[in-house]
Formats: sequence, structure tokens, C-alpha cells
Amino acid sequence: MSPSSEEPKEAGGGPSPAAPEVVAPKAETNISPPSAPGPTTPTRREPIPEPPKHMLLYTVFGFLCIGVALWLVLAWAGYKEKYTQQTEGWHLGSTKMIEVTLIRDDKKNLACASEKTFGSIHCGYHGNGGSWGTSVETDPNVLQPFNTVKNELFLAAGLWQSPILRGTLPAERFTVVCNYHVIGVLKAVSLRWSPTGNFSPVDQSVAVGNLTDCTIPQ
Amino acid sequence: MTTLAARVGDSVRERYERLRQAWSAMPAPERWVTVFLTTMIVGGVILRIQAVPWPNWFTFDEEPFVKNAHSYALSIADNNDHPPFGKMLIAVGMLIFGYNSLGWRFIPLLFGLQTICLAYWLGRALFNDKRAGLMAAAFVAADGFFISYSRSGLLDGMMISFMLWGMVAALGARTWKGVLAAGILIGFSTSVKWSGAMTAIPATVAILMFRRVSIFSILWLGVVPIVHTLIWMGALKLTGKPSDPMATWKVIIGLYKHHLDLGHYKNDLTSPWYGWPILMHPVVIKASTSGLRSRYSSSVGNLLLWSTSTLFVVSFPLITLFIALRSRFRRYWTQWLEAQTTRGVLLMLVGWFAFMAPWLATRGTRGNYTFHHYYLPCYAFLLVLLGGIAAHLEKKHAKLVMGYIGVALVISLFYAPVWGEFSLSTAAASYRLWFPTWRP
Repeated sequence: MSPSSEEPKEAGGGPSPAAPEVVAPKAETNISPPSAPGPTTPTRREPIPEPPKHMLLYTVFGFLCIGVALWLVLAWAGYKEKYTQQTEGWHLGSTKMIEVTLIRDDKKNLACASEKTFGSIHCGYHGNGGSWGTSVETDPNVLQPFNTVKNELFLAAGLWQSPILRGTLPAERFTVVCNYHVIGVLKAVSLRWSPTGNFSPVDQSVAVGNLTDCTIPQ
Repeated sequence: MTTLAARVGDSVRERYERLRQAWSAMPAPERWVTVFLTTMIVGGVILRIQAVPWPNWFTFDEEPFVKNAHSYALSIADNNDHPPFGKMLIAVGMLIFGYNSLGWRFIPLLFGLQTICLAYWLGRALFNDKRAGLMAAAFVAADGFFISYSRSGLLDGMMISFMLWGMVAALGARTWKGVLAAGILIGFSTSVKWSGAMTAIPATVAILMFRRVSIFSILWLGVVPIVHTLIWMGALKLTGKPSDPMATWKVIIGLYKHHLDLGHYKNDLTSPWYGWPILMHPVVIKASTSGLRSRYSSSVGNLLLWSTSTLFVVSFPLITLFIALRSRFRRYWTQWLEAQTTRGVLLMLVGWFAFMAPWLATRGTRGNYTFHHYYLPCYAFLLVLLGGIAAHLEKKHAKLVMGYIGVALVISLFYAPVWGEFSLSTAAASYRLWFPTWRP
């Protein structure tokens, strides 16, 4: 379909006689606005310039070029190897390095409730919500729920006994990197994320273990 | 072969010579503006690419999109509440680089870079001025809103890219084939996110306004729903679901009802439509902390470009009304903007309004369950508009434009660390992200 007869004549031709759109100031007004410069005076019949030719072709070609160039740059930069290391699995009995997100109030905020014990390790509360009578600050065997920076939930004891966390803690959110030794899995456990909150059961299996050798990455 | 090499060499030499002559003929302020614009584009490209796979876990809304993109590779049903095309495109990146953060961010990054080029072509074609294209490209390149969406495995950046592509096709259409191409591209945009369908409104206005093709060619934009349905049918077939037109229609209707019902949900990141132009609640799209330092990719835009575009949107209708009532002031207007620029400005404002309209219209059912990133397509139109006006003003007020773009560049440099995920202390990040609603 070629441009039809409805196409305005001026689109293809040269400038046609100008019909000034600007209305002359009325006699009664005292304001004397500056006169509009001739060449920029808009006209009703002003020709509309043609767009650049093959524009769509250029954009498609450009897209393909960007794709290839980006692929080469990312391959050359070694981003895949640098940023996408596979993490170890969570195996019973294994020790893995994990990075945990914390705020200093987490010492009081976080708690779990369960009857299950793993040797001397247990949650801070019984299944009915009653306390075991020990706290994470004094007892290295009390479990708390944490999230890794990758948002993986796990239960761990011994975090606050690390020398690095015994001093004054940062006021803002921070992370620590620790060795996590997996000693078991809890299926029926309830978690609490604030001192005044209620315990809510989780609908997943959660790893249980010890955190040791913690350090704040610099 | 030798002839081809010689011709390419000649062409490059000729272009270089033309550029050199253009540079020599340029007044000093324009040279400075060229340097600023080039810095913005090069810096914007670097900010998009550098360390894009970090963090190597899901951030913001990446998880549902990436997991469903992975599902397409495994022929498992998609359970996300957006059309399938964006996730299918993300899957292509994962086929190239694997199921990892580079794989799921590759295609959005590619489209993020393409958006800069498309802003150039749209600005150039709309205002018939290469300088307007260059300015539009630089503004898009050096704005955090676009940078953050280029660095994430999200759908919005891809939708915007197809939207601009559709507009470029509509503006450049000389025959019905061009309009058909625009319809297909708008169909792609709609198949990434439904709001992409609104591109059909400014595209139609562009075709009517410039009249380079028969007005009946507009009917070719009717291909948009066909492209959308075909893509959806293909996606259903790929995942082993019933994929006939009726079954596909049922899926689409079901999802439409689900979207209307979203008003019942609560989310801390929501912001009402009137909050978008005033940066009420821009979201930090990517946030990761390691030790005492954090990396952010915030969707706060360039404050100068943002505030100028918002002021323009507010003042333009008021000025138009004033001039309509007091026609003797029209000459001031015509001194400031000539016909070509005014046409471009009006078209971009139509685009802005077309993408605001759905959220105004569905406020009754969706309530305030709307988000800052719904403004991304509107803002893309406004940046192209600013590029056109700045290029026009530069001809008469070169120093003023030089100052404006210089300040925009300084603001971009200041905000680059919270757009491009540089390692920062919380204090340094808060120094840039002024309000609590701007912070993660």
C-alpha cells in the first residue's frame, strides 16, 4: 500500500504560501510584545520532514551488534566464573562457609521453639512457648533462626560467642561470615522474629548446626 | 574483498572527516555539550554492564520471573501473573550463560542498552534533529531509573525497549509494512507486560499526525492482539498445556481478573500514581550487604531531569490553557517552540498520558496497589521530550543548555554509586538516598 491521496500535499512538496498563525496584538492593549522572527514563524502548511530512511533496519542491526558485543565483553571479563560460583550443598555433617545478615538487636529478636534436642543443642523455647531457662548471650547451645545473604533459612547456635561479636556492634545492618557445621534437620519448629512477636510454625525442613570462626568481611 | 575493504575504509574516512569538520564549526558551548553528552552515554553503558551479575542471588522480583523462565526450558507450566514473552527472553540468556545471575540478567541488560539507541532514533526522527536524538539517548543513558532496570532480571526494561521500538517503527513508517512492523513490536511489548499495549495510542497519533501513510494503515496495528495471543499460545504449547485459542483466552481472562483483584493485597513498596512524578517511593531494585558495606541499585532518577520533566507535565497544560484564553501571548510561545518541536512534544505527552491512564482507570479495583516502576514508560517519553526541547533551545541559548546538561551530568556522577552498585557505607548511601522511602 503506497501513500494514499489522503497524504497532505505539503508533505511531498516545497513550502507553500505561509498563513501566519500569529494574531496581531489588539489595539486596546498597551503591551507591545516582540515581533516573531520570520523564519521560525509556524505555518499551517509547513512541510513535515521525512524521517531517516531504513531506520527500523538500523535499529535491528544495532540490536544484533549490541548483543554480540555484549556477549564478547562479558565472556572477556570472565563474569561467569567471577560471580557465579556454585555454592556447596547443605550436607549433614558438612561444614560450609556462609554469610549471615544481622542487626545488633537480633540477639533478642530471634528465637525458635521446639522440643527436639541435638546433643546439648536446643531451641530457646519449648514447643508450648515456655522458656528453656537459658539465653543466647550466656549459653552457646541455644539455637536461633538466621537467613544467609541469599535468603536461605537455617538454625544455628554459638554465633554470639564469637569474639568478633562480643564488642560493640554496628548500629546498621551488617553481615558476618562464619563456618557452619550442619548437625541435623528440624521439621517441626516455630520461629519468632521479634521479642514481642508470636511463634509461627515453618512449613519447611530447616538445617540445624553450629556457627564458629565468625568474622565481619572488610 | 579488496574493493569492499577499500569502500569501507573510504566510508570511515569520509565520516571521520565530516565529524572533524562539524566539530571545528561548533561554537564552544556546543562542544562542551557534546563532551557532556558523550560522557553520559559512555558512563551509562559502563554503569549498566559493570559487575552486573552481583549479587549472585535473586533480588527484588527476580525470583518469580527467573524461576518461570527456567520452567520454559524444562517444559513446566508458568505460574507467574505476567504474559510469557519476557520470561521466555530471559530463558535465552540462561541458555547462553547457564542458570546463574549472569544468565538471567543478560537479556534485560541487552534490552537496556538497546533502549539508549532507540531513544536516539526516536528523538532524531520525532524532532528531525540528530542533536535531539543524541540528547534523548544521553538522558536515558545517565538516569538511574533505566540503569537499575537494565541491571536486573526484570520485565519492565524489555517492555520499554519494545515500546520505543514500536514508536520508532510507527514514526518511520512510509508504507503499510512499516505500520505492520510497529504493530508486531507493540505486540511484543504487550507480551512482556500488558501495559505495553498502551503504546498503540501514541503510535496511532504519530501516524495520524505525520500522515506519511494512508490513515487506513492504522488498521495494521490490529495485529497487536494477534501477536500477543500467538506468543501466549506458543508458550502454553511449550509447557504442555492446552494451547488452542479458547484455552489461551481463558488463561488470559483469568489473569486479567487476578490483576483487577490485586487491590486486596498489601505491599510496603506500593505508591499511588500521583506519587510517581514526585519520587514519593522509588524502590531500591538491588540491595546486598557484605560486612559493613552495601551495594544498591536504586530506581531514583536523575533529579534534575526528573524535576524538569514533572514541572513540564504540570505547566504545559496550564500554559496551553492560558494561551488559548489570551491569544496575544501566542507569539511568545511560537518564539520558544516551533511547529516541529511542538508536534514532538505533544506526541510524547500523549505517550506519557497513555501509560498513566490504566492506573487512573483501575484505581477503583486496584486501590493503591501500584508501584513506582509503572512510571518507567511515562518517564521514557518525557526524557525524549526533554531531549527535543533542549536541542531546540540550544540553537538560541547554547550557554543555558550547556549549564543545564552540565548540572545533569554532575548529578549523574554523584548518584552513580547508588545506581551501579558500588560498595558504600550506609552513611554514604543515605547521603544520596535522602528520604526513608528512598532507602531499602
